[in-house]
Amino acid sequence: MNLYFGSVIFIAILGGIIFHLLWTRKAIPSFSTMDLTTIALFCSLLYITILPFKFGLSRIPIIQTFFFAIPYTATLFIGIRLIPRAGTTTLIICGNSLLSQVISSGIKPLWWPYALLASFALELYFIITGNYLQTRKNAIGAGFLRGLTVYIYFYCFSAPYIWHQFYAPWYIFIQTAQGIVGSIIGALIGIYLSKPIINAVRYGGI
Amino acid sequence: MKYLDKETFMHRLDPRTKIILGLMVAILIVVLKNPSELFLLFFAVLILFGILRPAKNTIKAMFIIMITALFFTMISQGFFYSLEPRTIIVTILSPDSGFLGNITGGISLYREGIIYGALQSLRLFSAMLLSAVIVMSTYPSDLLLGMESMGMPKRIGFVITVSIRFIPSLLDGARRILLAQRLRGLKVKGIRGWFRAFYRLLPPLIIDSLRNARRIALAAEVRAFTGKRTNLKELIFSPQDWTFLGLSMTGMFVLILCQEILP
Amino acid sequence: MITIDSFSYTYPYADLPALQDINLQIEPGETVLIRGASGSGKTTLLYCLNGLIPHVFAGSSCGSVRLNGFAPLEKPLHEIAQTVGTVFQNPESQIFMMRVEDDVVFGCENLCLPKEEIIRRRDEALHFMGLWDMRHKETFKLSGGYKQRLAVSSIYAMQPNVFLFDEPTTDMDGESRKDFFKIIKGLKDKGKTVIFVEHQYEDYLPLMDRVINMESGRIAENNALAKTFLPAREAAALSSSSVISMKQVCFGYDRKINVLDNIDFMIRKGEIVAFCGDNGSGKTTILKMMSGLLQPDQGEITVLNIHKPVLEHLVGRVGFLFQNPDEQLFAATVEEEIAFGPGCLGRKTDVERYLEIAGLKAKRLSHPQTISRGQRQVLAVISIMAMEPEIIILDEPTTGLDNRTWHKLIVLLYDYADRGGTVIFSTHNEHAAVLAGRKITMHKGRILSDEISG
Repeated sequence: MNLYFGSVIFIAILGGIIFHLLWTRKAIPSFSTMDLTTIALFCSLLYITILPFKFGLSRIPIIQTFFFAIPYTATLFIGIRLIPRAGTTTLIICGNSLLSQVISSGIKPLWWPYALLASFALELYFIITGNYLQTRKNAIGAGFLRGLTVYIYFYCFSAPYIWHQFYAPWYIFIQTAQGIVGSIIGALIGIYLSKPIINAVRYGGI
Repeated sequence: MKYLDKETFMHRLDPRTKIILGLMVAILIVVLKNPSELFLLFFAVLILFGILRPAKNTIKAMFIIMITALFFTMISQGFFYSLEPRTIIVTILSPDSGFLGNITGGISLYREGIIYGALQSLRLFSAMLLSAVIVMSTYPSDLLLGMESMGMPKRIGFVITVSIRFIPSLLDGARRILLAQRLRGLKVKGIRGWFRAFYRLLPPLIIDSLRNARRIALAAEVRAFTGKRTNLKELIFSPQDWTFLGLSMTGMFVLILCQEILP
Repeated sequence: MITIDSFSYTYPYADLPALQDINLQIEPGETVLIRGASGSGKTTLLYCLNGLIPHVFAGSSCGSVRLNGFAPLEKPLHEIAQTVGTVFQNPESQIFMMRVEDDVVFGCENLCLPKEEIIRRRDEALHFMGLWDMRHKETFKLSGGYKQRLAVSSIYAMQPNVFLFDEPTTDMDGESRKDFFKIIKGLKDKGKTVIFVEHQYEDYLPLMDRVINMESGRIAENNALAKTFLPAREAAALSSSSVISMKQVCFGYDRKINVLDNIDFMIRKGEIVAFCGDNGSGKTTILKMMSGLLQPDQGEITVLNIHKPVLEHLVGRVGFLFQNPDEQLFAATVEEEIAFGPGCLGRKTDVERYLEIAGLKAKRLSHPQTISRGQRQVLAVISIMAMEPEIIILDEPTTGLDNRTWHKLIVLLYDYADRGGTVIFSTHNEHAAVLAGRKITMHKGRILSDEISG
């Protein structure tokens, strides 16, 4: 059978594992209306911060991944730090994916497992480390994981088995490395920028 | 691609039909192997695209996107083709030229690769066209309604509705903040300027969004939002939907069967 | 019937109570105005009436609040929403759907009402609010006044008996405000209880049965606002040097409509000029032209002896303030914010002095977003002043400000003008315009009048 379908099943199993872990730890999160609207706005923010990078210089395929990963990861991680709970990551990543499909790129069912994998990998990481980006080390790890899963999945599963396109190992390595480095830089920027924001939220005014 | 305000056959279909169609085409894209079948799929989707009678600008834009994708796919597969037989057109890096050559195993452009790339782009084209068709013929709130009735939780539908609704105002806010920064003397030219702008733009934009998020949440609360809701608009499958689904399903199975049975 | 008995409330993490010892009774069908300075507790009071306190905002309270006999905690928020409806200040964040008729029913759908009932209520709300003809329109295409009407309609469709309004007309111009008056009157005629909080309330006084003044969380006995002083400015001897001149300027965003038609005026150094007029009169366009953000299609414009200036020529010489101060505060602390502009321009600045003038010395290390709205507005203005531009232009600086803060701001601007600066601002608030030395009224792209005021 096609390895892609295999990967979809794998992702579903991953989701099941996460759900089970949360269930046994009695940590199924509930989101208030304010949490939902904050997450909604982060989906939109993610869409907007990527927008300028869709045109111009950064369209060169070789270095494109680097330019995308930084703002994306920075904004995503700020969002996670603001609502540090299981499920936030999934809602923001998948919400943003759906959002950009509904308003511009069109409904692409083939991209849904990809978004889910990116979310589940991070959710599992947060559950296992018990830490939602509270420390810099955690953030670097999360950035690394995100870069790794997303680009490896794309080049080793999506590309060959959906689009039937193959890439040489050295190329995959360069792109993944860029993705990882970009994600880590984005993660650090996100953590740094989120400090004053969280401060402002805690001490009123918002 | 944006929603097209017209009355075509595709517009009249239930959004769920179109989502199911999207899933079917997705499966076909993954599973089909023969060039002739890939072409068939592509033409079928092209016909659906034609039914919408899109504007010239849209056709032009789609065309440019597809040609660019075609170009890059041909180049990338041209370089990365790894099956035999393969004939070299030009060599960029020979396999025995030092360190890089050893790691990469040489970088050469292969003729079969280019052809292969061109062929495989058909999958990309079918996907792009179909996703555009779905979005151009379905109003966003109907699309979300369709997904909700297919099992997506209503609270997620709310999240997406809010995020779609607020993109224009967020964009305006971002533009105004950038302008305000330029007016205070911040220089945004060049790569450094880009990063500086991004770095300075994000916190005020996010704080403003958080304020907005609170206001929106309160407005939703006083409108009795709990996550549990009914919808005024009801989606009903019409005979056209059933016919269309039936035909598409048959088409899908026939294509897959042909591929398995015929040599 | 609303009864509040010796009620006090403190927000979580706050040091001082927001409401102290409130005693209030409101009969069904009454129309009540609540007024007071920012921070006096008006909004908090409203939140106690619609259930947001305590359902959304925790915090500690004592005393009792009863709505039609029950306490807010006894019923879930979505049930209270069927008795008490709330309309907030910003229409943007109260509209959820992309089409008018879809947004009107948002609340009803949340109540899980049967389909026929929803349709009936929707049509009634659309007719009552005068939105029937626009029901298929897309919400982002509506003007500000209509957006707020839509927000009221979706609350109206839920058919509450009590309507709370929290500064609903802040962003509206004269025309829209007159229309809103009719809406309030309509609600009053239908026997609804209306509780209205507003800074610019003068136009609505004829409708009010009662006026309540709040100050520092209490209901004040005397008229707290009676003794506001009106800052005076002596007609300073104006220099004859012109800083801005426009001759026969025309401008249109698209070929068909002329946003500006034959504009002619001159502003001298040291003047304070207010541009008044409704939305669409062209005042914001003129302001943008004066700061180089837009160029005229026809005619001549000269700013600081530069013909047809663009943004780059004027940075540092002309300061422009947008309506929302929050979009113009970028630094991590108040003192950094003041130093930001001069820093980018490579100029030195006396941060201490500006902190003093702004009255923000105590908050110098606070994050700009943690200070009050009025303080943020003052900070945004001071941050521009710190760049010591020759001209300061402000777009709708009075929005959302109570009179006290506006007066404080105008004193800062007077001082700045006395030292040789020129101040130009746009406003729909007639009372704010009075405090400028000169008032230019615009209508549909033309100058109606250009008079010296006061």
